[in-house]
Amino acid sequence: MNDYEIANIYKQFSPSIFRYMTYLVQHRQVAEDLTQEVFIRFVRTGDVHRTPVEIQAWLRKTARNIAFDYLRRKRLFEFIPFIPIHEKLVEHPFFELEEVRGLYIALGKLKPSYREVIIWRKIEELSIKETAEILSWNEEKVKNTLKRAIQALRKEMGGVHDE
Amino acid sequence: MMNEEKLFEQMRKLKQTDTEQNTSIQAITDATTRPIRNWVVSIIGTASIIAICLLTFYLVTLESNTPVTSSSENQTINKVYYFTNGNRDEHTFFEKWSPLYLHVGVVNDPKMLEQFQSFLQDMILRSKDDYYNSWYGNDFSAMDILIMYDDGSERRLKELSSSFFLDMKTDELFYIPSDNWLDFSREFFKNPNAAWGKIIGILLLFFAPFSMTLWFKRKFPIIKYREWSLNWTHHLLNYLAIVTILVGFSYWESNYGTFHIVVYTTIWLVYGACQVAYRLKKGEHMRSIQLTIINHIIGTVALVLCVF
Repeated sequence: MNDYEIANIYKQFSPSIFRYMTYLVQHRQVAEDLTQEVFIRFVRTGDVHRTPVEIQAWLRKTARNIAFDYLRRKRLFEFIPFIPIHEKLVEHPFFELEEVRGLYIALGKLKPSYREVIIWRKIEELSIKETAEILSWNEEKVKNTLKRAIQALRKEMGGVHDE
Repeated sequence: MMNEEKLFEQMRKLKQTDTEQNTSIQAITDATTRPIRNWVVSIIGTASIIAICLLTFYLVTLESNTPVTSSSENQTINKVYYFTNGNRDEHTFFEKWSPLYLHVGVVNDPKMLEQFQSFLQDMILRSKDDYYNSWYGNDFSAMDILIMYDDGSERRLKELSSSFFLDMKTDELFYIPSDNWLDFSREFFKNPNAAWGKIIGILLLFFAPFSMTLWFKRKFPIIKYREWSLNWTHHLLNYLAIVTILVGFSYWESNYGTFHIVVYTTIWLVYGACQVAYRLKKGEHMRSIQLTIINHIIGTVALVLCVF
């Protein structure tokens, strides 16, 4: 795969992966690192003959593995009593909106499985079937988990918003 | 007030800027398609690793020939080995392979050997009772001495206290009455490799971690800029820590005598562990953490060489 192909694939597929990483790990710079790692793995597989749909599915699944590896590692070392990481929220214009910032923070308080089902279904607007494939769940589980996740999110946000 | 759908729509707008995307693409390209092109950096890094291996091997295997057991006092001294063991247990005599020894040295300088021989000829036989009844017997860190003569024979002495020596073969106790013996012995028994150790240690300390870092930077461009800035800051902190440790070492040595190298190394390694823990806590890339660990191992070898 040459530089041009890498650039094309990155520009085409990275936005959703980057958003997924940012909202899941709740740290923009780490999300950038992890997104890069996903694409490095993709390039290293050397398989360039897949369709865009297959590429996207592969990237999403790999992103999930990498993100959860990171979260596991992070949880493992959270006991170390050092300076906590202060995430800078105002990194994008929309974070200046108080309500969006509130949603971002509330999302970060949910458990990872709730976070990712909301990301894929509500933010990325994937179908139930697509979400089920990425998460390796059945469609019923996606529906139920999303319902519970939305309830939990509303609770975290103070229950003031309606769908 | 926006409803949830509108909020999610806003969140969908998050994306990297063009500059950020291009930087990421460059990093991916570098990590996947480009070989290491800076051969100079690569060679320096490789040479540093080989140098560390050789120096470690040198430190571990220094002067480890097995001494033969015989004794002669009529031959010219060919060579003197000395072993600083830091304890007074007579059974550890010449167990230089034992970790109890702080260091092993060899003296080859003919003038020094000649002077040493004249001191040995002046030795006066003393009874052990006299020695043990004197105030000398306590609180002294002994040195073991192996004297090799031209004919291949040897003599083994254990320094029981300043100027008192026990001949390990004949079990006789000797006293060296010369007034300037203590001054001479300090010069005589200093580590002959100390100067080289310091030079190599300081060179290694300054150049090897830099080379290693540059090599990592080429090899693993995935490590982010913010992590590199932390790397360079840590280099600076490492140098300050080393300087502090060396100044502390000099002060302690000049005021209180020998202090165990393990203490300095432990301080350094604990400091390194704190750095690694801090980086893990910050969620840094594993390659960056590996680099910190490697640089601390280099620093450990350099520190040992400087203090040895």
